[in-house]
Amino acid sequence: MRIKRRLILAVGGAAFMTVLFLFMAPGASAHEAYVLTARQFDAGLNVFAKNPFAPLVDSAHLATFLWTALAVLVSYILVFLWSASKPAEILDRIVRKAKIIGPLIIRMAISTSFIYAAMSNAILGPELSLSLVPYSIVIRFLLFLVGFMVLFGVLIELAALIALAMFIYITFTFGVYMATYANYFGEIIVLLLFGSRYLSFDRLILGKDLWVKKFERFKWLETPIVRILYGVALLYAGYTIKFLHQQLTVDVYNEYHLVNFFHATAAYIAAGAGVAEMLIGLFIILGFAMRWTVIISLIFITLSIFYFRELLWPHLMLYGISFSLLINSGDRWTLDAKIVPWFRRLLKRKVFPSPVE
Amino acid sequence: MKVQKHHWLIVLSFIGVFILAVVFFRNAQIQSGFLGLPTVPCFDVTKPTTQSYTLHISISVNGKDYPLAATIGHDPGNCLRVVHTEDASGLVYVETNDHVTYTLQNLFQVWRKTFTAAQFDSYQADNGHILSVYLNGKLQRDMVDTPLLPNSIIEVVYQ
Repeated sequence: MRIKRRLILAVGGAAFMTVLFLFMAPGASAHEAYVLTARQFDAGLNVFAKNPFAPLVDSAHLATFLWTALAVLVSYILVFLWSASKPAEILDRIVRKAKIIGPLIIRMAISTSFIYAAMSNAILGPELSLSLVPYSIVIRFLLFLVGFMVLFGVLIELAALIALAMFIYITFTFGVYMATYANYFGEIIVLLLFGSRYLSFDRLILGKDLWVKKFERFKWLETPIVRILYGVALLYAGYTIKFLHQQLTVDVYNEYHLVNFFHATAAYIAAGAGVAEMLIGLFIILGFAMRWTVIISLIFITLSIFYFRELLWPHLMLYGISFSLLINSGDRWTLDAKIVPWFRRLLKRKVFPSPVE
Repeated sequence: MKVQKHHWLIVLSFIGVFILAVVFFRNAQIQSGFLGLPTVPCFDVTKPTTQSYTLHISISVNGKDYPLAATIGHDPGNCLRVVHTEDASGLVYVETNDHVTYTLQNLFQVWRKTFTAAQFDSYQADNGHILSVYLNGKLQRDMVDTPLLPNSIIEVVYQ
């Protein structure tokens, strides 16, 4: 009876994942233009910015920069005030009820990313062309295999082990740039250690138990691993692309004539976007105002897709992690876990003191 | 214990995903879809035009004409690639804002057709088939890097 129920769940899960995959297919291939060409991207990586902060504090932009910073600060204060309120507490409890689907979303994201990367003859991102990697044909096949194993939940830990080996292997080709994809590394580690049994064939075959049962007591590390490595990826990308090689962002700005939209110089917008991306990365690493920070990052990601007509598939992973973090916000290694209860107590004491006191 | 009990399910499900991976892999190896970074930029009308010329490209597969698409390089979102066509006659336009010499490989990238020394689209050079490229009548050794030169005639022959 139990096996029958599990079989229904596994097959149902496979059908559900297939439908989601097919649903994403047109979207993932609709945006064929990427922001810069491979040639422009390589050229931009050879140009180093001398003083990337300068555009923020020059006389023309200082006031705008300070007003923007103040607006952001006020938004974060309002978010903490909201977090301390009773409705926020209730909403938090409701959202957390969906925590079981967090790992499922991530599984979906990583598997579709792998499959679309393989279709594009790339790995992890469109700029990491498999044509640069020795034995790329093997890697391409493994990307499909790992993608489908993770999608349908077949021997997920083994798939993660293969994915980890691929990640290490391509690091020999792409070097430190792979830090941009630290979020994938985090996901792979989590899948390797803890699997993902919900709506999977593994649940049917192996049951709930992990391959290494001792890892069960470390399961709470799932979210911190994903969160911290996602933050590292954003921080690194923000620093290298928008600061160290600011010319890349300037090229994008000029290519799309964004001056008509922002009415500011390319250097100022590049530096501002760099500061925003690095702060988002840092806040995610620290777990500071997690949900608000993730929502801001989602707005950035969505705007970049629509405005620059970027490829959708490289962003699937970012969406997956973001939605997962929106649900599983505030793990024990976050500043939120410390600040919000303290703030709540403080407000109760100072603003709404109990009549007994 | 459970693993031993349901080992047939492990094998079965793994075979399932393996077959799926093989099918997708084979398809990807021969398909014309390309979702990676384009290597040919958009033509920017606001910048000076540094090169502007045409050339003729013809493709034949097993003796039959394989016409070029009329919309090569006309990407959505107002992007006209610097290598593009205006009709299916085989006339290729090169209009650029740079001084780069574009190649036959670039044209096929824009067209999103596989083109390597051993394959054009889904046609693979093997024991019974040969893929060759002629530039102004001269056989090209490095087919993919055949330059797109002004007023030149390029023939891609698969037979």
